[in-house]
Amino acid sequence: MENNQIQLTFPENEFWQWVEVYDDKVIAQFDSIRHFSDIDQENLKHFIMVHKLSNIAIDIPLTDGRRLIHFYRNYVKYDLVSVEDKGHDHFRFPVVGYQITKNNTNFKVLLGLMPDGRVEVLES
Amino acid sequence: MAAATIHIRVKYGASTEEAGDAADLNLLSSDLGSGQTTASYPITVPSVGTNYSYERKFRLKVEDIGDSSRIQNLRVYADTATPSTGCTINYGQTSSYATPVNTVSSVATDAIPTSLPGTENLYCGGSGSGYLDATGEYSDYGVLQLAVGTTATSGGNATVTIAYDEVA
Repeated sequence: MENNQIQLTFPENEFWQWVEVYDDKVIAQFDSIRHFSDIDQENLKHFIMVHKLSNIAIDIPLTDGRRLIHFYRNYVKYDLVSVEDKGHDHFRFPVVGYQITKNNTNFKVLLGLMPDGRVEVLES
Repeated sequence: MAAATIHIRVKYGASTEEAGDAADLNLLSSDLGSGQTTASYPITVPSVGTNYSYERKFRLKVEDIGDSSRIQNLRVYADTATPSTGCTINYGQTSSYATPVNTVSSVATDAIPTSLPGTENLYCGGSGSGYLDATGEYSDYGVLQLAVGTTATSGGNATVTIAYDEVA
């Protein structure tokens, strides 16, 4: 790829989006609605997560047999209280990473991408 | 992309399911839906043995799958299994519904995990590795119950988290 620049647009409430980089093209997640199953993992060279408000970009090279992982983790939290009801909260963020198999064992690397740009390593 | 809309649906009585997202998952001394005043339904401290709340049964419903392709990896845990001395929150799951009981649950038999479990503990379709991929689909039932022992103290609270993954 040479000196390619693309303009990214972010839907409301989305702080991250993926960019698929192939030898001959670059596809942003929200150019059209891309599904994970649309990604051509056999030919994907890089998978880049781009943050809406900062200059943060996380580049995952799809080399050495890495299998891409991407999903949205959701936490719905309910407070069980003795006196008053506090209702519940819902928190959603993208998780990106890869799986690699060595000696018949699968290893996963997972990164949770927070709305403010922070990145957390997840265990599962 | 339009995220999936997932509701937590509480079910109680013989077969009454709330029409909307659960207001809470509070554990009460009566078999009622969510949104109750918890102070009106306390579980008393027994002089001997253990008192139990009614089982709180819930499940996930895909209200709108949106632009997502599947919902999977459902996990339930809390920040504590012992919200106060002598009290334990128990958890379990089942694919079939039965009227909640306020005796020892045959489903919520283990203390609720206190961190995100490494594998699913709320199934879709009765077994692990299942998923929801269409509007209107339901998970299996998660079941919570509070066990109150003779040494129980009042007060305390816990936060129950339901985690799920949404694949675009």
